[in-house]
Amino acid sequence: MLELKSVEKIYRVGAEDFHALRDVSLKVEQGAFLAFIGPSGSGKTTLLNLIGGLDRPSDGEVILEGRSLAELDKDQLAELRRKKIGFIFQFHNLLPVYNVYENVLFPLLLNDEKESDVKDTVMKIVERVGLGGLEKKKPTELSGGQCQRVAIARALVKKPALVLADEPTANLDAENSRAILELTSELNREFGCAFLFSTHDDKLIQYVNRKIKLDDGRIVSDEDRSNGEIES
Amino acid sequence: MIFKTAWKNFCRQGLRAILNILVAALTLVVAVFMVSLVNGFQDQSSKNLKKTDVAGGHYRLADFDILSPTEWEDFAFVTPPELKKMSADEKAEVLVQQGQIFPQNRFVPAQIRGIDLEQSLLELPLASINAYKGDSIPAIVGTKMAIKSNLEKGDFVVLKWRDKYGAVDAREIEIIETVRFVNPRLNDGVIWLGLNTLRDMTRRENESSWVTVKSNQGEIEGLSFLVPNVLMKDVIELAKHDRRNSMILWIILMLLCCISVFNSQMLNAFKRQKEAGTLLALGMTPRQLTKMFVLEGSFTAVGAVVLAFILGIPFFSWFQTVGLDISHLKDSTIPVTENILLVFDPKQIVNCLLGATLMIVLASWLPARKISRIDPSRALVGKAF
Repeated sequence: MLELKSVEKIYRVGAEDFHALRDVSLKVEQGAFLAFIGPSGSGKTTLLNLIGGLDRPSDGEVILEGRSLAELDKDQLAELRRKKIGFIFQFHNLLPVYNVYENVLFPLLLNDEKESDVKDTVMKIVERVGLGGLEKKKPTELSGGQCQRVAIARALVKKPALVLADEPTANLDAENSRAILELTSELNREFGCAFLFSTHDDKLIQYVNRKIKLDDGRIVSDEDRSNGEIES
Repeated sequence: MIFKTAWKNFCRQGLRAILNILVAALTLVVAVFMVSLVNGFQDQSSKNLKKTDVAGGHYRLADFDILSPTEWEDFAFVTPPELKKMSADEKAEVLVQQGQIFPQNRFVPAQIRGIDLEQSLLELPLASINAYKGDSIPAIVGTKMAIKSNLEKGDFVVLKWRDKYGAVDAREIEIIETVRFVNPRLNDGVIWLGLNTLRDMTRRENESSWVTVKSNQGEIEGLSFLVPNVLMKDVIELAKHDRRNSMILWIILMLLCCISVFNSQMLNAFKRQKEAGTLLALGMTPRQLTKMFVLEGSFTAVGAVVLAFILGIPFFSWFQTVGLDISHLKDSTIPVTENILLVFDPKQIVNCLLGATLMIVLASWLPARKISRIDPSRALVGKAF
């Protein structure tokens, strides 16, 4: 479903080049539950941004469902994100002017859905992430864990092929982190979409069926729980 | 969806949005006020000039020039029968000649203006000339002429003139009235006599310098017809100049207002880059993002128009009851002595509102265009700018 071929990302910092990613190649199957782990600055966020079409690689290729992202212009990338990719951010990034229901509804409206047609879908997923009864609350009235649940619902409501979560638990306490991971793990099974998230918290790795370790922009290990470990 | 998001974002700006709307609305009210005041000035001065001098136009000899007194004697003509036969409320024959008066042994040049006292086309306070029973020549002067020449009602003064054949003559005239003419051209430098008296004095039987008419009578051989706009050219030019000044002031005010909107939008773009990055990540296109930010700016324009109506209508209604007092300008050449009232031109108001709206939308589009070009991955971490 997703393939990265020799992906490089170089940032220009002042007069020097900074290699955020070096020769990253990997394949991800439909329904994967995968974590990119590694210390800060190892390239996890950059990798997720490239996969999500938010940034372009300096070299190499990102192929999603058979289409190379390099061939897509800004509007086509926007369409791809709108239809195929869900994002979960560290600080949830909910729209402050909207309540829970409206935040979850928003991606569907972007996809030209009519509110009357999708109202039930939105209510169901809000219920599913444990926020039943809080539909009218604004993000400022919710806890960090609740906001992250809204963000998960927002990412999943359009039934994407791929969900990218950048440090989704970094801003939460241990209990909330565990709850969020359990929830995403369950939803991964329910929705069948691939979950790719970045974390530097080793305790959270127990939930994933594949973990890829990054260091200094390189993949240093790729462990598939069912198939054993492959060093790269 | 974009409209709703833009509206909610706009409302979230709170005081900043209100201040922007207030500034823009006040600018609009001031702009409409200034333009309408100039209209009012032009309207009232035109009315006054028409009422006292211009009416529907003048028939004159082609080269007659009121600003060349030494040539007046050469440009008098016998009133043609087509004009002569017109009724008193449709025409006024006027003869002007140059002369001098000698008040208190001083020499003061003057325009001697004789007008048909039976005419009712022009509104001139000259009825007392007809009612005069004395032995002298009855004359009326404007208040400014009276002050300049140190003349008062009841004074006698020597008037010198030259007749048609070049003979110089002089007689004592009596100032039977000093009156304020709303038209400064008539209030200063003019000695008013009856037309027949002046014709007799100058031996110019049936002659006129011009004939003021209610409406154009068509072509008359030997004479030119000057339309009111030509005769009021100076006032129209003055209004045009004032309108241009108003426009410059309006543009300055609008620029200030647009800078305020621009600043708000830039601040928005800077403060909300994470939100912009999120919207792009959710699949909003750069065009949709621009649209959303421009809409937010446009709400300022719409709000300003609405508030301008709310503030403007009561203000203008009140103003029309008092007008602008210009009594301090009574000695100027402005042909208006009454308070100036506003004259609204719907086309000008619509242009003003449209112009302001377009400028505000443009001011909000520039930062919006910038935010739509941001790198979403950097915007998400607040480092897009």
